Amino acid sequence: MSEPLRLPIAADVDVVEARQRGRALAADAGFSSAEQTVIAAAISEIARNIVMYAKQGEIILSLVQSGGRQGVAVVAIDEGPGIPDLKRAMQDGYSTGDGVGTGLPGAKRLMDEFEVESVVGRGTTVKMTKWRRAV
Amino acid sequence: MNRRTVVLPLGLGRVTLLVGLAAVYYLGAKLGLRFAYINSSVTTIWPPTGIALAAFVLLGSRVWPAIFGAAFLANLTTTGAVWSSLGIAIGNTTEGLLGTYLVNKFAQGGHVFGRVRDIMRFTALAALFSTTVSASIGITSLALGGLLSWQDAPRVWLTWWLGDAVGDIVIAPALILWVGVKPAVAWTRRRFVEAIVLALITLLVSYGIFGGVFPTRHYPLTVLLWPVMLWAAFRFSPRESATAMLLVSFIAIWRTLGGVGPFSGYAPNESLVLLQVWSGFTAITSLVVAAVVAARREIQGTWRELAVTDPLTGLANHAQLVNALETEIRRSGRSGQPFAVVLLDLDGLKKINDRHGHLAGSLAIRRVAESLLGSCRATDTAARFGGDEFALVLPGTGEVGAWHAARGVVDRLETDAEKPSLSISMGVATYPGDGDTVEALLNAADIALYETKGRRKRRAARV
Repeated sequence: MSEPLRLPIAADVDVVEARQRGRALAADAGFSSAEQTVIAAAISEIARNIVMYAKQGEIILSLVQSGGRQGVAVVAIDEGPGIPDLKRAMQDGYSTGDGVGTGLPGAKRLMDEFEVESVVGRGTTVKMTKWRRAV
Repeated sequence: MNRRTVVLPLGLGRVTLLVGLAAVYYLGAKLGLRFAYINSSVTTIWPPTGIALAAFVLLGSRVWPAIFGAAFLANLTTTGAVWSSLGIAIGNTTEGLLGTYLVNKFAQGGHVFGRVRDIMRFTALAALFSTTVSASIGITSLALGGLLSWQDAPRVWLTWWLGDAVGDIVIAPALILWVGVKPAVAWTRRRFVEAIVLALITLLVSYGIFGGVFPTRHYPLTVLLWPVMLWAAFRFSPRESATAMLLVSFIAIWRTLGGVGPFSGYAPNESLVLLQVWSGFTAITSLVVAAVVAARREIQGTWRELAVTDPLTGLANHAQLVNALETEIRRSGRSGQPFAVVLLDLDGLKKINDRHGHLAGSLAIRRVAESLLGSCRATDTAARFGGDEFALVLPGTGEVGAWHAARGVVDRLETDAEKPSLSISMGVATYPGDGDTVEALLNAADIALYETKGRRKRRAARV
């Protein structure tokens, strides 16, 4: 299994880098074009979140395996302001205009597994995984 | 039906985990040894083999000290013979490790019960082959320790081996399927009720077969079990099939030991051998049926999905877009709520293709798809219905909301630092104001889109 890929996130170009690496990693693991797009979209969302709210952080990409099945695991860590109302932040709505505006519900919907942990003043950690479809 | 494997919820410390596992193994062993008729250490009912195999498959070989320690203690407290117990413990641990190695290497590890081929390999390699190790080491240890005469060894070996094999076949599947594989869909209330009914009927039928309910005779009616097992396979999943089999096995053993049912009427060990052979075959057959049914369901799901998605982006395709619009028209017609459709055109795809090559063109399309996926809600439909044409169907949304959603897409593309930079043109139409049929809505959105495109071109020309 390859080493996890650690990518610093501080600007829009880093979001692109994370998304491209995620796409490539998923392609290497045999994910379909459609699945790659979904994974890249989810990585984009949480990377943009870091840039918008925490200013800087890190995204760690790795291939994981469980019982013969391949997956892409994405961990996003920042030491930003944290999310005061996680429940509200996870509410599904449009991310502009309504003032809630995190990419978290979008990312959750796109991935198979999703966990978020946030402490106000300490930062936010998102862990998510997408498993490859059988057939 | 996507099977997903959970990362085990083991925030528990390693020590707690090992002690817990050892305790379960020890109890299983002590329970099994209560049915040791031909030798105080040898029994046809041996759940620990299945517990060890499941533990190694799910938690990895690192938990071996728990298995080894518990196996040693369980035997030591039974016979008091240190060296024999040590030998048996080595055999039991090696068996589990070998079985797991083979299952991981040849039968997809924790997903072993998903495919018929893997179930067959599991049966041959883990249940039938790896168990010879424990039986051979165990019997040798007992004989060397003077707890068994060499003359009896072959017969006792068979009993040992059978107990271990059935332990793998009946116990391990239920454990692996419950702990290791999480089903994609949660149970509805009705499904939950059905599961309870299934469990009760499984118990009832098992008791009917094995319980000695006919006062004078023990009819060989084990076939009565099949409708129940088919129910579990077709309405539920391999997990429930394995669980049903566990219930059946439990009742069968209990009643057979009570001297009733189709396998009674022989010497105790003989009865149990016959019963366990039956259990082994029944369990494997029902696992195979359940796997075939589950695989068929999964393939149907995949086909259905492929038929409605765009292969490049995974977005809905044209057929699915029309479908979503028809559904929303019906729903809004009933509820009186508006809904919106946004058409989005990737600007200059031809130019991108010409200048950067078609790979960059495909990538540009995927980047737009990523923006759509990121900005819409769970209830929205994002579609790609032509080369560079995309659409969003937004239930319960008016024009203002539609522009918010569209703004989300634009925002994502504007901050997208990937080259070449992309821009899109958009048009919005709402139901029922701009039309009340699929054609009318798409037309209205299309006209709106070309108006913005034209405006932008005129503006560009002025500059």
